[in-house]
Amino acid sequence: MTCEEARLLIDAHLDRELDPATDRELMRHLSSCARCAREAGATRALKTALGAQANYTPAPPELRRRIEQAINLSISAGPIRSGRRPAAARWWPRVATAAISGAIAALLAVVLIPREFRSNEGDFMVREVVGAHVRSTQASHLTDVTSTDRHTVKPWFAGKLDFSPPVADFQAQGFKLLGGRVDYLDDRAVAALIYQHGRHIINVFIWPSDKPDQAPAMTVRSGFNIDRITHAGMNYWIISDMSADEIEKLAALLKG
Amino acid sequence: MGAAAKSSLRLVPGRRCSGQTPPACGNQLPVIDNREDFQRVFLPHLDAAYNLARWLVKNETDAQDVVQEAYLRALRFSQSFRGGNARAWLLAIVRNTAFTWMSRNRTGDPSAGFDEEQHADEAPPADFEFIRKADSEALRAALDELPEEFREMVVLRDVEGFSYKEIAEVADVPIGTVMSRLARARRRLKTALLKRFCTGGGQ
Repeated sequence: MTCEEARLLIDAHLDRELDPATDRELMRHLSSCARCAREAGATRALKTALGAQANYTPAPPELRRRIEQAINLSISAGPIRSGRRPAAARWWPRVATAAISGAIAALLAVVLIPREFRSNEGDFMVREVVGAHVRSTQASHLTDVTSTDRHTVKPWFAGKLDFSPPVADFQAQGFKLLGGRVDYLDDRAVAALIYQHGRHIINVFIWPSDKPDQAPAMTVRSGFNIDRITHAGMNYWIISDMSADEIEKLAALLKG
Repeated sequence: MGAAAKSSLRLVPGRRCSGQTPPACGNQLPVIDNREDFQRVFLPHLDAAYNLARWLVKNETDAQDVVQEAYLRALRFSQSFRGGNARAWLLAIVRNTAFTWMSRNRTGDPSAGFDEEQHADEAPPADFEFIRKADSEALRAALDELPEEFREMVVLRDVEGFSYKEIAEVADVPIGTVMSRLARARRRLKTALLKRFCTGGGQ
């Protein structure tokens, strides 16, 4: 065995991952080559140091709680256990049902949505917005900055986005600002403002537009109402499970 | 690396079940059909998941987001888990989520050229003092400088204690690649520690 070959095997030898025959061959080489033996010694010392000194960072308890909560939220939308049925019968029918109703919702959405939404770009964005909204409500990661004060939320976006989104609280009108978040839609960073109306959570996604102002265009996807407006050089996509009327109210408020 | 060296890379076959070969794992297949099963099978690996994410994205807050996102992805794909090594299956998702996150959030220049060969001809000092005296801060700094695909190898092996076969499964590379990346990564770590020792008052 040459030194070059030995150098490639020393690590696997120390990790006890070599087959016995190769291992013996390497040992023979190490016993006759001081330089390779020294290299092996250094690697062994490194492994010892890493094992003793490199921080193993256990998960904070807070993260465990967040994940447990997210897991429960995401499957418990329907009843999860109903006693006697065999294990396999519990979940899969629900998945199938969900898939079918999802397919029907998608089909209805295609039939019902206005023409401009049906372009590939529009449809893609609808899916992205629904995904972002669902993720934000499932993952208990609704807000990056939590504040009802627009003077806190707006500056928070500075440096995180290449634009400054308009931020306003409409608590008096029934739409309480909960905070803000940076999200990603169509591969660009967008501002997400989160509002609460009664028990409904609303995500408003905002990013710059070079198009002229556009009237609200409402669509439904996966049980969510989605409204899209372009106003004063900004795109607004508003999504929530609250009624279309309420969404239109918020859209009107956002336009100021 | 010469052809002769390549031909001698025969490694011990993995002792653990692989996610890709369910029949070999026979009867102990956990069937994930509800959230209790999902939590029972995958939550015990939360520490391993977080530790890997923490070492990859180098930031605790981001690591938490990555791990949470990974668990939700795992949940979504849990029907494709056919038993086998749950830890490797989960950490493969954590790893991919972290890499996606890093490619999206990478600022500044990508990792500098991986030039571990520059000191390859010098044998290390015989007393290994430069390694034995390295504290956790020195090791962290040296590890952080490794490109991610090398750093993950060292973290999975020397911090998490994974077998080569598990690492291969997590990183989706052949076992031979695990072996050569580990060797290169550790060589680079030794070089970095030696440099630090020589310049940092160790002379």
